Amino acid sequence: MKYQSFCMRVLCLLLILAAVIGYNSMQKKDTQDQVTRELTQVEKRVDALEEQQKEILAALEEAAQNQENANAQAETGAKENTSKEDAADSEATDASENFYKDGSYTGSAQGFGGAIEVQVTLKDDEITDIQVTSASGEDSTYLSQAQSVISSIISAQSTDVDTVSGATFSSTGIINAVIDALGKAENE
Amino acid sequence: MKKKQRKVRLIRTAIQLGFFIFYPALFSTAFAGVKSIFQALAAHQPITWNSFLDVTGVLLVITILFGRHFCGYACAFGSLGDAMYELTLFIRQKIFHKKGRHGYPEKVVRALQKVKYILLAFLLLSILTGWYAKLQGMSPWDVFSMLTAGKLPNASYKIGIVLLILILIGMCTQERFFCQFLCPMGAVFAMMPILPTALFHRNRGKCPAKCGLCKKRCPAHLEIDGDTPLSGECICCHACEVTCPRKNIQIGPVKDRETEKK
Repeated sequence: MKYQSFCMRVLCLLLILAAVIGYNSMQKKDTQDQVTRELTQVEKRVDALEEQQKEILAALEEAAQNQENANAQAETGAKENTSKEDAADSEATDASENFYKDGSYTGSAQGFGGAIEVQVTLKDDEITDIQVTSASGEDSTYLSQAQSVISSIISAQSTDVDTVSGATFSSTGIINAVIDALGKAENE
Repeated sequence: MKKKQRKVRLIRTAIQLGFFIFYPALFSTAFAGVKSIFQALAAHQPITWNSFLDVTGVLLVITILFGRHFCGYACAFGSLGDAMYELTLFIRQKIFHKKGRHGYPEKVVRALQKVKYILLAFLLLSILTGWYAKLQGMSPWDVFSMLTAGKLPNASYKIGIVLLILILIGMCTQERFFCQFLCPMGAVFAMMPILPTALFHRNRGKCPAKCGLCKKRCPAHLEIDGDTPLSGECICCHACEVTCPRKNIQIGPVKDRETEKK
């Protein structure tokens, strides 16, 4: 045959591609099965919880009625006073109990080929957003791979996450830059 | 003839230098794409397209359509190998007054060319079994890409540094030492079905009986004859084409009419 090697190689390549596609569709089916299994479990739990809730509600209603009777006896002026005090109390605790200040903070750390700068947005001690503002020393392919570490930081609400394999330097740089930014946001 | 050889070599060096400066990481990015497939397999996750696979995909398609010109002209590590070998040639000529291009005998080259497939299989298996994390700091490519990024590798890359130095020494002893014998990405490229129209063909009818200049000049000592079991080893350096005194070698099949004319 004239192009024997070429034909053999085309065949091998097609086999590999078929294997990859087959593997992916199997994975998809597996995850779907798992999701349906989990869903049925969750549904069962919801049913059980609903029953529990009904019981609790009945008990609560009884308790509320008892309290209403007691409240009716108290004076209206005294009630207003206590509610005002409550509000003031809660405001004071809010500000001092938060570990981080709200707002956006920038941090930087060494990546692969230079400094990576990130902007971390915080609200009520929660990391709501992380943006890479500058990473001039980074290869764009590796940087876009490394960016996936951002979503894992946000979902874990922690910088103690795994680095992206294949883009270790860039993702480590992003993690360290976020740590740097969080350090600046700490309440004294 | 000599003038044409020099011109082709100059063009090639210029292209290689350009890619070396602007895209020194292409080859390791391409391999990172291959690795990402096996990492997904090891983690029992579906294989998803990522930015590494962009590079791998483009290079594989280019290779299938136009041959391994990436290896011959664009790969920074290949260019490094050429630089080391040419430097050794120059020193041999100027100081030891030895002529000709040194290298290993054909049989040794053939045997060593298989090593890269074993290395590729070993690397991919180690990713599947989770060994790969233990190989951290052993990759000579990591050390090389750090150096091209202007960063000094730290002590944890000791083995990688030693391996890189050994490879550099090997590069001096044989043209395209790493590409032919060790490169795992080269092994992937060599297995690609390169279109017969992109392979080097020889008009055998016009060849004198005992010439063999092209085979002698070829860094991989290939018998240039279109689609052969070894045609994947060709890195498209065009040395055979320029060397042939009768201009018998070209990319693409030789037209039958030309043979008949002779």
